[in-house]
Amino acid sequence: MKQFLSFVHKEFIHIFRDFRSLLILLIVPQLMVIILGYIIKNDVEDVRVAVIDPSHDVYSTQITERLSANKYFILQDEVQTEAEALDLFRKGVIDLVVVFCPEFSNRLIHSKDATIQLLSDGSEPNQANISVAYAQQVINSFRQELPSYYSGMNIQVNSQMLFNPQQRSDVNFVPGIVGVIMLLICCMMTSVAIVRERETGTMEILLASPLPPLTVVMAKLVPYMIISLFNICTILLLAIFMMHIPIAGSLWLYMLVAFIYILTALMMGLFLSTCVNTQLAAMLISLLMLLPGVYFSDMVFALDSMPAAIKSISNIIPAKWFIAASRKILIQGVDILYVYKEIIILIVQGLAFLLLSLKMFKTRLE
Amino acid sequence: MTEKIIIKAERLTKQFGHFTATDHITFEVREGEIFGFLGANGAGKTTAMRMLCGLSQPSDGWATVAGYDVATEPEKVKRNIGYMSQKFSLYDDLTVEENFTLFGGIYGMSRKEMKEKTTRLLEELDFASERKTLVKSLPLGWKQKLAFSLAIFHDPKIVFLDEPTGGVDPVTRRQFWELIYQAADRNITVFVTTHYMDEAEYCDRVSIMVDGKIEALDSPANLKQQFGVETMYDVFYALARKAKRGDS
Repeated sequence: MKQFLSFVHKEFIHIFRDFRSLLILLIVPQLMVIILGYIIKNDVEDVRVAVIDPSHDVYSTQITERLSANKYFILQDEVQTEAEALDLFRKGVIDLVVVFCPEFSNRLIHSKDATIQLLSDGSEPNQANISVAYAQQVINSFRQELPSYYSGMNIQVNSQMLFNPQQRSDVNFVPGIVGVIMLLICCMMTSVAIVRERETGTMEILLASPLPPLTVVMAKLVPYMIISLFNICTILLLAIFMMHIPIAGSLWLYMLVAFIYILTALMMGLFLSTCVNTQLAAMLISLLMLLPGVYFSDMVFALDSMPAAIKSISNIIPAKWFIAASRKILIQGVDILYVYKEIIILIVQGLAFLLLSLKMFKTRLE
Repeated sequence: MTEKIIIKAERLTKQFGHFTATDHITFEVREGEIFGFLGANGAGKTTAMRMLCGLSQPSDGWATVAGYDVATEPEKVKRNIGYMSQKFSLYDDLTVEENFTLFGGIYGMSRKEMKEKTTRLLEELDFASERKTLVKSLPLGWKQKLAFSLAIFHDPKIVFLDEPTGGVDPVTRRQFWELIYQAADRNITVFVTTHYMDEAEYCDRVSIMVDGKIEALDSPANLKQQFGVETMYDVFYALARKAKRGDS
């Protein structure tokens, strides 16, 4: 244990004496969160809305008025049929269509099955989701203000985006950024650190010492694990206190999932370090691994809009599972029963990388 | 010097695919001896040394180091040896003292023991003032001397030196060899590879490897007599020019 600790100590010295490592490990992650989550918002404004309202009664008119009064919406036109609406979509004149069911007020009060359908432009899935969510928000607030003797009456809204009630992009962004940053630190920095020892020749000295080779490597992983946990904490603090992002679920559950993801990413880094011989190669390959991490992790590009083949490829990317789980925990506030699948997949992936690394690991310098 | 055998290799062989880097070498090294392990580039010296250090598994034959089998008990072998590689092998971004503390820690020394030993070693090297200096700002010669001190910091029975004086100026080389003699006086066996023939003269016995095989093994004086030449350089030249393997 003492041997192990003296080694971990040395690893920390390496990090703290190298300005560039320090920058990447402890400044860049927080900066990325602030820039991507705080400054660049992909909130949607000026959503152009068309309304299909066959009945033109009290409540449907009220809802339409509210939409047009909302600063995010511009009421464009009233159309009669969905075919007309489709035509306007194709022309790019509108972003959202609100379809009231016939006899809206009547059904709202008596049969309690009034429906509103929201049609959005799926060619821009992110924007579509957000504008649907905005419209829903308006409808929800209307519903809540209905007189109490109408209680039990129901407006059904066909839509998929049920969460993130404030419709903030940064809320969605934070889990994604954490996922990618951890990949950067755990995968790139560790593999570079291990390969560096091989390049400088110090690895040989360590392997000639009585330290078991696996201990040498594990000791190298420890500082990056600690730094990653520290980063997750600071990012969460930034998210809560600076960006005022509401955290719906349990932070402990989130930390657990984050810890498992960190271990998986470390194993990826370990595996990578056994495959390459130079720091440059380690760096380039981790960057190559980072890109699919960004593309397939549902962070910037919606997975829902990708072809099935690509969607299935995305399943092998650990970041995807971590980001999915953290969205569920942080935004939807679910408990562990709803994220156990993601947790198990992350653990299995981590173990797979560990086994592959052990297989590749050159215990003896061949 | 005792007659106790501390390294024994028997038909020790390493093959990489069809290439036999070290080809059935058999030799013994006595305790406290300075054993020169010579050979042209690519002759198989480093491969043989790695097997002896427990870093590489022999393909055939066997060897014991400090009484332990290199193939089956590499951890015990490693506990009893020090190793200094061809490449400069201290941590550049650590201070002199931190390097010592790291290796002391790896070999399980107590903090107090490490401190005392570091102080004594640095004083012996006349280097006490550089205790807190980052290694990267030291001249190469000093680094090599420090690397050697570090290799014997935990008092191993044997120290393996793989071309320790490459690129070092003659004066520092001379000082380096004084350190080697001091270690040998403390009954540490020194197993050293070198390309400098003047250094070969400093060894108690030398072996010369050609194409993976040991072609000659004796004291420098006997070898010169046997080949009827004046210097170790001529002995080496006579053997090494027969090599079929080029510089790789």
